[in-house]
Amino acid sequence: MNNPVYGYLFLKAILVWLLLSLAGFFWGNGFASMMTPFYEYVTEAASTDYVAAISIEERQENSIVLAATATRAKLITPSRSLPAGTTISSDISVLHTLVPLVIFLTIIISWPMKSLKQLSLIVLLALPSIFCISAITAPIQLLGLLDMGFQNAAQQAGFVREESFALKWMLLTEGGGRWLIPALFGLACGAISESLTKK
Amino acid sequence: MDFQSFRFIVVAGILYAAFHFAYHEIPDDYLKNTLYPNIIGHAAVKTIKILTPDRTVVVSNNALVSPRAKMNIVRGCDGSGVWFMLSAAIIGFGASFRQTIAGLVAGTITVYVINQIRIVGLYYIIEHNRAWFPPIHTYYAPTLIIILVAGFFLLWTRWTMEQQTNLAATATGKTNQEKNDHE
Repeated sequence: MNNPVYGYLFLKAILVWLLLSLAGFFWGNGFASMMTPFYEYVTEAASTDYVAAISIEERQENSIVLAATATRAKLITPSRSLPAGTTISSDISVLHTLVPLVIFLTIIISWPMKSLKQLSLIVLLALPSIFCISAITAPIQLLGLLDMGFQNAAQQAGFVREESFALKWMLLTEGGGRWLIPALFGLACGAISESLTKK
Repeated sequence: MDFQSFRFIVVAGILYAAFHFAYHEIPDDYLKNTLYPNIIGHAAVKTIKILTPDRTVVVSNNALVSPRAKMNIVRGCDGSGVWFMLSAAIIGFGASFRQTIAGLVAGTITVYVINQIRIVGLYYIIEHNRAWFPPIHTYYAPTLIIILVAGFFLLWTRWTMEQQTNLAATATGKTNQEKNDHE
């Protein structure tokens, strides 16, 4: 890093990451609580099979818990199904759901701003991006975990069950996609704000 | 957004998905019994023994086992996600073939080293205080690794652009020299 600008940018990113990580660690529960109506909305939009109730549970590792009530019978194996009206649950840790947002905000806050106009544009772009990133990570993961339970039950009974979209998406995001998605969103916000500022 | 940025985002996204689906075609047993012990496990144990010679850590398939701790290395703990992301970004950037290969080789080494540090670090964390493992494993480590790898990518893109500038300057110099020779 013989160019001081790059060294400065890197140090700034590390500092921003540290501050955001600490903020998430201490206030992540509050943020997740605020997001639960949105998570519920996305969960129900992504799967009409359930009525979703999402809450935050304070445990050793604080978790976002989905209590999903089946609106119709759900086939697990040819001879076994989940009856309509049954409530099943899945959960993910609050910190885990904050990872994409910490990455996204680190990129956005570290992005070199050239003017106040660019700063305003990037903030305008970042707000809907936060909701987009949240929508395609946490709620789909909760749904994917429910489906994983069905997959395991079917496998134990010797059946092969077709993977749902939520499960496929969850595997994609959990394999590292939840890091790539915010990184690409961050780059897109930065690039769009730069090009609009130039115009 | 300019076309280059758009192309970069689309190509990186598609390549990442392709890498991900190819990776999931590798059987779990092969990862657990062959790849993880040989590529990650033994190197991690050697590092632990160098740093703390009193430890009696051994590799048992995909796990690092000692009387004080046991840590499983499972699918995804191999740094594959970050590696796919970096590789997709390097290929998607559209540098020359030589620069891309250099980036992929250096990037692979960087990701491997960072991941080994993470694995060894997590082992010591389990040994020291198991309660610290979940937040560090699922929260601090992944985000920090992304920032570090982004730093590598930044350096690599700067190197490629400097090379292109130098090449262009050399080519311009040659053209001017040829013009002068004709005159």
